[in-house]
Amino acid sequence: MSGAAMSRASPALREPLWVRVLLIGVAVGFLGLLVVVPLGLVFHEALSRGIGPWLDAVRDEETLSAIRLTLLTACISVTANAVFGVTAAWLIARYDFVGRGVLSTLIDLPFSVSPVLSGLIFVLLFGRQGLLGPWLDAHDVKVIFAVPGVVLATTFVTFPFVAKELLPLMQAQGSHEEEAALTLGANGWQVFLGVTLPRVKWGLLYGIILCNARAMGEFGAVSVVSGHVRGLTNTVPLHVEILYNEYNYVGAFAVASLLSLLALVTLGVKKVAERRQGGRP
Amino acid sequence: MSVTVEHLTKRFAGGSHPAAEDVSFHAPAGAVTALLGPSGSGKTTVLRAIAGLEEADAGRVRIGGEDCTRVPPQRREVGFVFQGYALFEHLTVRGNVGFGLRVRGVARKERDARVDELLELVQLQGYGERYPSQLSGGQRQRVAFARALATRPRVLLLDEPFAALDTRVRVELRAWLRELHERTHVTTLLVTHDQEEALELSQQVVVMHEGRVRQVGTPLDVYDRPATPFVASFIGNANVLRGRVEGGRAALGGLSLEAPGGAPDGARVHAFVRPHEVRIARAVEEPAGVHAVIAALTRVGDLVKLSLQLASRDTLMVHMAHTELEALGLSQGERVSVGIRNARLFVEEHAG
Amino acid sequence: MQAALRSVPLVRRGGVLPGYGLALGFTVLYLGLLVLLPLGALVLKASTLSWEGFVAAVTGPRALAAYRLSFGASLVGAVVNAVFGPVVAWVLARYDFPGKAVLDALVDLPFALPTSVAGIALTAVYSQNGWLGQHLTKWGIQVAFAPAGVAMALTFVGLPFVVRSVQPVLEDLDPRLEEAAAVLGAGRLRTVAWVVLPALFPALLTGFALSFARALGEYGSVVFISGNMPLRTEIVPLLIVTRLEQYDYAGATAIGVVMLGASFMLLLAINALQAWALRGRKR
Repeated sequence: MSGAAMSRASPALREPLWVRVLLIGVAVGFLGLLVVVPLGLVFHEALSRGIGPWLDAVRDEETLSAIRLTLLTACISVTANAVFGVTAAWLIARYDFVGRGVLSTLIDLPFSVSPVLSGLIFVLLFGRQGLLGPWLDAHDVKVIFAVPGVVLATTFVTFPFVAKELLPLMQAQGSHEEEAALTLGANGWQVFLGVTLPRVKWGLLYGIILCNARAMGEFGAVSVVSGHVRGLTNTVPLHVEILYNEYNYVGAFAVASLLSLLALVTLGVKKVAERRQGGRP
Repeated sequence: MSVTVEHLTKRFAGGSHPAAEDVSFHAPAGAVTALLGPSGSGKTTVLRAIAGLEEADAGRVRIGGEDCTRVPPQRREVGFVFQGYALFEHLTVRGNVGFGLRVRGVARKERDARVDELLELVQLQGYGERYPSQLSGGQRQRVAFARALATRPRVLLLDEPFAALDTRVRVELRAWLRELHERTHVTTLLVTHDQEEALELSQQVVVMHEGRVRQVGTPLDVYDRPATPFVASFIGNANVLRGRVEGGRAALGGLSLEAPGGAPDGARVHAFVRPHEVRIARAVEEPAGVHAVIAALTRVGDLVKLSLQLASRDTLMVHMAHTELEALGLSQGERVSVGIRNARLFVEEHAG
Repeated sequence: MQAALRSVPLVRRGGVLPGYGLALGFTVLYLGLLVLLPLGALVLKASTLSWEGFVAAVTGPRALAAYRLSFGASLVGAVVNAVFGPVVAWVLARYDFPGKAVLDALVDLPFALPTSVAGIALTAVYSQNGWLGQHLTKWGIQVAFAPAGVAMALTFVGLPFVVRSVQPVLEDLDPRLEEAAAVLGAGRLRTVAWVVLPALFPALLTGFALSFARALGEYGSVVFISGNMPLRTEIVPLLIVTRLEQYDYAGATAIGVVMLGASFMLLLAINALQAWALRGRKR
């Protein structure tokens, strides 16, 4: 007799109608001014001259090359971080060892570092004046102001996403099922692929989706390491900046509308994954 | 102050039957009234309606004669002890107990004095500065009582107050609650699914089933004279024997009992027989009696539980003192003669 | 997290599940190469700076102005979120109304929307002839290209943190607590102030700190709306980028170290807060 739904209805917990309306109004107004209006503006500006100029901006060769680089970067960094995330979550959730807490904190580290710093550290490591700069120069390898730098910075920034989603999930689930599989004669890989992964697949998808959104949208870190070489190290978010700074608003918002669509799709998939995995992540 | 519930009905969206349907009873002032029933019988709904936490679809609640059906819970002046206690975790014991007084704007000094008084009443002196998370289940329970009593409520409402506790603590707290009631004499309504708790603590029992009141009476009434088959089977253990009325007597598996008044011949009846109300003797001593075989015999402390198999294949559970059985010198497999000291018979509603 | 840890039967090192060595090796190697080595480079580079040079770089007037703006605007953003975030969380947790699911999803938009998009969109909305900016201008309020704009962008990026910290606590809050307060005579307002808010407080503080930390490092959404005027609307991350573009690696590193130190301290504070919040949520 303690169902939350029932108790919520109890008159002692009900605010007067005007209070409810007022609070909903405040919440909607706050989110409206901060989120909805800017989002609406992106699409409005992008299509302000009709679909033609929007298509032109999107099909522009520089835009296409930025999209290619963004896809490549996201593909590499998301894959790497997904593999890492699953491994690290498995490690921390399933084994007990000295330094487990420290490891778990270190994984969160890139979240608390400014994107600009995330770029800076790679410049200091691989840049011309960096620690490894002279060696890289001597071997004619270019990292900074080149694609590898973009990939590295993106991977750093998106590093914790998958691990962070999976860890609480795996901890909450415990290892009884894996142990049961072992007693049934499964080997390590069979346990992992047959028991562990299926149980967290929606959480994994959720983590990958968020990781991908950030990878495709990262601006600060990539801006520092890319050097803004058009057609070469220009990702989509950087391209938005370039178009905007050239006062090509329709172009900038057209490309921004692509990224906004990506964000909306991400939120949609996130909702679904959240529901499927059961409860909040 | 007394509590009167009149024709209370409450229906929740999606429920197959009303949580409470036409519930009426009177809880006398100064007494403990138990609302007893299985889970889902509507007893908590009734209690919450008395507190104002549930709005009734129909009916009235009177406290001390005053109709307070539409009075919000804040002004009903009742104390409520929730299942699971619902203590404020961010407040100390003192803060919890003094909460209602603080709401009423009682000055700090007076409040402190009253809180001290209550901590003494619930035997938690010296625990005032602790947080609920630092207390045992039994201690948390007593804080919940103190918090509910601090404002001198007109009525104390207890929702399964002992459900979350170990058996041993539960028994201790039951004794403590009886003592507490003797000291405060506050009108108390106790919701419980535990018949032992209800029978031991209350002066009046309201038995509920599927949202309806099935019987109101003293603990002895509902135990000895259950008004309905449900009450008879829910309260205490009972053997159920089925049979028919023949020649003014009920024939049940070879046993013959006085038929319920007005039951015509051929009517189906069933009888509820408490295990301790079966009398047995060695078969050889009563060769003309109804005979049965001791199919199983289990000793639980100084009590013996016998399972008797009647000639009709009916099974009869019998409880007796171990010393009594020893005096009879009976063991498993032996034949015994069976007599019924007392039974409740009901005519089946759809006799046919 | 601690509560979750306790419920897991701990498999000890060398326990039954295989793969410990492989998992540990890969995790540590990947973490070391991708995170610790580059962060080490920053510290190493900083250690090569002379003390005087370091102090000069981090205490120059431009740097001081940038700290003031970054910390100040981040604080404003976090405070605004700490005020409105709980309202949004309350509405999402307690009320049903049309469009609620959309509103709930939109709370996460600042997580998902690339910061450069957020930056140009906010700028366009709040600039002098933007949809909302033109009305604000009439009142003499300038948002874009002013510190207010910086605070606005930082409010945007920090928005999900407070809501998502508070909302689950609100949803899990035992309704009997509020009923208990009501039966004890407390009205709705007092119940919220004396019972609900204290229960939310650890989560609210955590969300506030997360929001503040995120705002402090934010770059993309700010650079468009701020106007980037040195001493006036220049945030710390932008100053680092400026130094880099001038090939002043030492200056960039020095300020970077200060930022990193601040982030570390916030991270420690947030970890402590989260542990506290979780302890509070256990019954």
